Amino acid sequence: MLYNILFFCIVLLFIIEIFIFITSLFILLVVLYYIIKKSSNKQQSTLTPTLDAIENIDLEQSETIHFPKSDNPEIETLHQKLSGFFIIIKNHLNNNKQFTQNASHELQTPLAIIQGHAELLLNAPNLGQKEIESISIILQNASRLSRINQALILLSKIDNRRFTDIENVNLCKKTLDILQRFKDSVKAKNLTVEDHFEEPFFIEISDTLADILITNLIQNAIRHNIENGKIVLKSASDFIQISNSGLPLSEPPQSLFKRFARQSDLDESLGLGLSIVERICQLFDLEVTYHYTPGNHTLTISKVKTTPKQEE
Amino acid sequence: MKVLIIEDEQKLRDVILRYFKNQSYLCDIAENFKTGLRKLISYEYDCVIIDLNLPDGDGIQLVKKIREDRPETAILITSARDSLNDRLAGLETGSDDYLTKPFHLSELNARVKAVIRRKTNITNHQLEFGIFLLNLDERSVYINDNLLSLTKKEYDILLYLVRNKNRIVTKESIAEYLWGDYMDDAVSFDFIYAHIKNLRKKLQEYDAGSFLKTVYGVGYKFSIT
Repeated sequence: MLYNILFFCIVLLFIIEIFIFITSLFILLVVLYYIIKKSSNKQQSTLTPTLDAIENIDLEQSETIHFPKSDNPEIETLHQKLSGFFIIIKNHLNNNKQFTQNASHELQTPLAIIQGHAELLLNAPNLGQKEIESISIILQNASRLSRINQALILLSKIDNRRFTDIENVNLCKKTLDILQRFKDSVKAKNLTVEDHFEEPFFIEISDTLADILITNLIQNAIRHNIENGKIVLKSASDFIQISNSGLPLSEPPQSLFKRFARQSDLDESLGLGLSIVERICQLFDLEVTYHYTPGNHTLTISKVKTTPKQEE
Repeated sequence: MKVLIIEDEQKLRDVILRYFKNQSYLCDIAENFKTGLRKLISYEYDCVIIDLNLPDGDGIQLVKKIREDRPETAILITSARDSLNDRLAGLETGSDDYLTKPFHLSELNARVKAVIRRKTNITNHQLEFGIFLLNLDERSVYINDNLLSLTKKEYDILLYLVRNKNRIVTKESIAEYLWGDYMDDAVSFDFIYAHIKNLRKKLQEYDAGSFLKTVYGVGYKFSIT
């Protein structure tokens, strides 16, 4: 009996001890939680100006980055380091742009000289058919090189934002206008154009770039079309869609917008058209998406839905 | 016809000079802004080909100068600068045409002839070549006084070939001349082929089909020999 009571007391004591232990652990946790929370709160408030400064940077447009002064020496060091990185990135970006621009421009004169001399040679007396063909190959490739060069110059100009003729442009009207220029090509492949434009799609865009954008899309829809195929045009107030019949892609669709991506070696295109399209879209808050249904390729240009930032 | 070529790249200047001399033009050259200006003050030209990017000055200033002194001179600008703004600036200051580098010499040639024609005050513009007679105002072609019925594109191709007569003209240069950058090479070559076929058929009705020669894989040549 005594043994039993003793056992009970020990167990009770043990339970109480455990209870006290758990309670103290809980209290400790709660205290720790508040300490951590407080300190992290404090950290957030000191870093907020830094974060704001970083969030406001547009790498393309900002020339310098401004951080507010801070009493905390660590934060000051952080600001200095970040400014340093910004300058390095900015320099690389500028060098890169400058290089493409210079390289492309400097190529034009030598290309003109090659082309001119080859053309002169083509009409030299006493040439055999083989020599004429060789000269013609030089000429063809000089002109291909020159077209690649033109496209790269265009890309670098877009990157440097050298287009200022911003207007409110109806892309549907633009599409129909530009299709007129291609009516010979449309006829050659015996294509049917189905105009299902319902609502005009208006955007604020450089008129020149809108022209290039739509020209590239139409050229694409004709080039990758099949004989007797279709081009279908659709629109709403927030998108425009151009689809064309065609064979399935041989490359993954993700590579479509990459520079120099071509579907096959037989492909006559330069592989720069769609990357130009993508670049123009990025510049004017537009989104270009590709969609494939059997026998049909669809490219859609739509306004980027700006989701409001979630405030805490 | 007197032509002044203002171009600072020696090799390009030479090639243009040789090409135009073959066309029996009287050619003069200037390698920079200063020489160009001096020659423009001292002599008279029917046409001036100006490169905009000169080492010692802006070609646009030369265009303005010519326009002030001799409005009847035809001006054609060549430039590596291809931006639309430059193009507009060039045309606004009074140049008659604009060609970006690199260009086909046959296209430069055809355009020089076209701007000279526009500037001369003859009322009836005609081009005679063997049994052919092209009336440039009516855009019509006669063979031994017989009027050919040509489509617009057929006429354009024939005019281009006649302006570059006795020379091989590549199909690339025809494509660029007719459609600019707006057409795929593959598609435009098919078109040229089809147009040439029809054109030759129409010429053949007057036994003139053999004047239009095909240089296999390269292009075409129009000659009466």
